[in-house]
Amino acid sequence: MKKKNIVPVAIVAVIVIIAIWLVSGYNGLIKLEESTDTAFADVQVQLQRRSDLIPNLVNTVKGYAAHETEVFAEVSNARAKLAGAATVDEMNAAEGEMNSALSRLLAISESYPELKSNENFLNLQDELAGTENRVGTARRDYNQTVQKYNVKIRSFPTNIFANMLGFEKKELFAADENAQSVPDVNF
Amino acid sequence: MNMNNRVIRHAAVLTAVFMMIFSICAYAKTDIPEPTERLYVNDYANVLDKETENYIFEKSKAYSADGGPQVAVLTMKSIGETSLEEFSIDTARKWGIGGDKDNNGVLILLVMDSRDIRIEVGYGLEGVLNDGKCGRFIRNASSALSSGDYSGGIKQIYDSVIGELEKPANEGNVAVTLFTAVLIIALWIIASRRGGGHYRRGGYYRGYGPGSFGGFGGFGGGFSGGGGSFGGGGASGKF
Repeated sequence: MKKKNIVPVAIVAVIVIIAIWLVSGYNGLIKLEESTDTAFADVQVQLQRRSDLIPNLVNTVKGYAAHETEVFAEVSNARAKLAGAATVDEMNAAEGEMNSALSRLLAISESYPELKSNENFLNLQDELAGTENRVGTARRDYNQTVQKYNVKIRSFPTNIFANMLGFEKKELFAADENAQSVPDVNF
Repeated sequence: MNMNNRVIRHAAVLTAVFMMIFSICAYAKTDIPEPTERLYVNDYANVLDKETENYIFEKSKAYSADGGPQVAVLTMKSIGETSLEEFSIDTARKWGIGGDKDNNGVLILLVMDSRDIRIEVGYGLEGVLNDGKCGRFIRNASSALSSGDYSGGIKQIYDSVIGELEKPANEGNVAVTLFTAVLIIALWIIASRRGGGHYRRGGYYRGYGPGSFGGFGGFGGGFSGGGGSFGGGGASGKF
């Protein structure tokens, strides 16, 4: 009587173990995916913060160099493009444009000594540089989280069900050194 | 059989060699230094005089007691190819300067060969010590630093940072805190009237872990960070 029971008990035990493994694996993936979303949101927060700073900076420069309209237009174009970017790829592209526009804007100050020593302008430059750095940090953190996630969904045995349940590989931010470093601000 | 074994052995040796090469490449980045026992003063470039070191240490020690902000100073001869901002935040995070609840850490970093200076500000202090202020502190101290008076320059920046942190909180915050306190008490009274011991029965426990002190203090002689987090706030400059 007892021996007969062993087989069904074993089968049930195996099923239970597999179920537990699936559930915990799935929950782990969800947690990881959630943290990549959080990290992505952090990047967007910092980009938004920079976007908010730019009009102030432009207005301050305008006060001293109103006729440099070309650069102002360039900055506002880049800003609009960055605001419209939803995916990592679009962000990467818009980012480059924004950086070059900003560095041109800051370069203007070289020809206007009064602007260069304006306390408000210096302050905005610091804020901008700090925000650039925050963007860089947030992107680095995002990449690290996504890397963990990507490795997880592609390695055995998680990959078996990760694919079935629709966990997909996520894009990384371009490891562009220029995008990470702060635009050159010389005092 | 023998052949197979040899192939396997060779493959193993090759793999080991490759792995060693790769691991060396992976660590080509500048290593983050360990904090000294005194945490708040880490003069690895040896440019600060004893007096300044003691001044910073004693002041930081007193200031960070009871969960106050932790302000640390680090000087380096060189950080190699690593960018200043990356090195700075990696160090601040690794050391965990500041408490893990308030994230109130500050790292003042001086790099001699590239003549870089940076103030790294923890999440919780970004409002008080905003980038503009940090930039100004650095600009104000840059003449002392570039003339070679590193002790004076660092002390100036350190005092500016502490001075900014010591400014009394503005009235608005006090009002908000008071309002929150009143609200919590009111809610508590309502809840206890209605629930009649509901919380107690359910074993309501907010789960303050035993480790929530975050490593402040110096019971064992050494000091350590409290796990504060950083998001890249602060400012950098040249001297």
